Amino acid sequence: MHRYSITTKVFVSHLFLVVVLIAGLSYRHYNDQIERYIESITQFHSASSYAIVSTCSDAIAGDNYANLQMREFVNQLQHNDKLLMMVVEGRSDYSSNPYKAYYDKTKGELWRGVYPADFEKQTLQQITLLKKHLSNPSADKVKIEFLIARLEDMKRNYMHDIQMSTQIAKKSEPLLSTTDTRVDFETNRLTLALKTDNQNGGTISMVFDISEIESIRKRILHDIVLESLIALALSLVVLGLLSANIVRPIKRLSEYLRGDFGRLNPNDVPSKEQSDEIGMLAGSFSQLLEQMQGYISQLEQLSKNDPLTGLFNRRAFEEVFVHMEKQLAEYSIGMLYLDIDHFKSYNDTYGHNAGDIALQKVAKAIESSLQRKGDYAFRLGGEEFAVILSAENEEKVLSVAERIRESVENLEIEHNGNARYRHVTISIGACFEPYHKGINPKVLLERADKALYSAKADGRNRVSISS
Amino acid sequence: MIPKVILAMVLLGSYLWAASQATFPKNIKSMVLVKESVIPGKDVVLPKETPMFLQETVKMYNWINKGQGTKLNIFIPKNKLAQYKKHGPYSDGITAVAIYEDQDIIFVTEHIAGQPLYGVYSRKGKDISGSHPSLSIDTCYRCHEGYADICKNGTCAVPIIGAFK
Repeated sequence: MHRYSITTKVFVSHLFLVVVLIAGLSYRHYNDQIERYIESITQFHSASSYAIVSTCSDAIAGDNYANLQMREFVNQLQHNDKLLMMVVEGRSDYSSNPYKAYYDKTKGELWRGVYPADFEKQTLQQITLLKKHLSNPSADKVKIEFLIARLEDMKRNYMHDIQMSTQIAKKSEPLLSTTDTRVDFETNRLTLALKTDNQNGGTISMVFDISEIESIRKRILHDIVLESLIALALSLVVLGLLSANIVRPIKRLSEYLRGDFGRLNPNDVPSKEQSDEIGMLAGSFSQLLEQMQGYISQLEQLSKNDPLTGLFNRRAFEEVFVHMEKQLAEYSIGMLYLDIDHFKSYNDTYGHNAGDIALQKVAKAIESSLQRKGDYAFRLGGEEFAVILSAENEEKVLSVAERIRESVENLEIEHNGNARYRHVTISIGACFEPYHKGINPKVLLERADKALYSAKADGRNRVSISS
Repeated sequence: MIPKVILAMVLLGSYLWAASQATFPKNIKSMVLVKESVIPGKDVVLPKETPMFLQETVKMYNWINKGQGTKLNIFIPKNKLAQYKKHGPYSDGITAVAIYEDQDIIFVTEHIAGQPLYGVYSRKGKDISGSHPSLSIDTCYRCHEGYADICKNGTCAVPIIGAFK
């Protein structure tokens, strides 16, 4: 995960969320649409079946098959193109006789589905009985033959109904096995179970053809896929812009901070002007940068200055020399090496605190003797000092050195250990070098150091210049 | 030849279905009045609990007497009173006569070998079964046999409810 950029992470994670969201919404949308369609088609068929329920309730109540088998009612069923099958079941209101009637669109018929167990036997017995009556000479043959014809007709109907019921039972069982309204998506059939309103109750199970649902499902699916693709494409654009918008300022900030730290300007930190979290981050970077640069400046100051005297220290010597060389290229350079005479003896006599105070006074005297902007004084360590001068000639160097020596002597700091002068004095070794490229400060310092030895050797409290 | 026979049978059958089958009763005065009821007028709103069969009856006959309704009396021959009380089975002969007193209509039920035959006549014995769809013999059979739960052996087995008294 760490190897991927923030842009990639932001983009991919949001894309994942968007895809999950779109998929979830699409699934929900699809189901809602289908459910709404099923609901509306169920309501439509329920409402349009009201007259059927009324007729069937009446028929069940009175154990009446004739009313349902009337051509008018069967035609009413036939006119409903979508009604494939119907089973009416219940118990009659007075005798609680079982009632069952079937309708099958393909047969175009409605028939009785249940008969008393001895119906056929009874009918045959009655036919036989009527035939016996025929043999009586006084019998009304017209009436008897009419009754025989009716019973024969009833017998035929019975045989026909039993045969039809057996056939449809196989066909209808899977579809009518429930008394609840349900949809079979495999066969695209809607089974609607309606309650009858007769006293002993009953149900009308109707199977409707809803094959149009297939094209509706395809259309819904097509619309949803199209909508999802549009949403995804828009999301990709927005996500691309969003991730770039989040990451670009961070990148700019990162590139800016990769630059030379010393040259970074807290006011130039990019994206600082933004009012969002990135702006806050850039503002914090800016503050941090400002603080860091302050600390560094202080540290640099501390590392270049002698804490006791405030003069530059040895570390700063070469740096100042290079700086001075660049700035004062038209001048030649003078170098002084200064050493307090018998200073060990001063410390031994007056203590180190007095020694430190004497060092501070001497340093101040050296610094105040320098009049030019391009002159620098250093404490090299202990009681040793150095001065770099931008001077036109050797005389000028000697003049400054002498002025320093005098100002130290004029401090009149008591120093009994300096037997000859009784005051703190300094010896100075000096050298002069006309300007040229590649002047080495160490070499100049060595020359001044050698001159210092001469000054010491000649009796101290004097200036000696290297030839 | 055969189709002609079939056609003749069909025509005969239609005729038979259209005409009254039961014989016109000439001795109504000697019969016993067993039920007095009414066919409500067309403006009467039936109680909600009225059985569907009766609702169907009213729906079918409330045109009678110009929609004013009629008194309905049912007469049974003396020799069939015991059979009537048990709702059959009935012996041969006229079983029941129902009269719409406020209009000239007499319904007759006759039995032969336990099977019912129906007829619709005027008081003078004229077959009027073809004068209105609700008086056709086909309607008689459809109603009596259709409502098998109520009609036992060709006569009504449901007691008269308040609205019809």
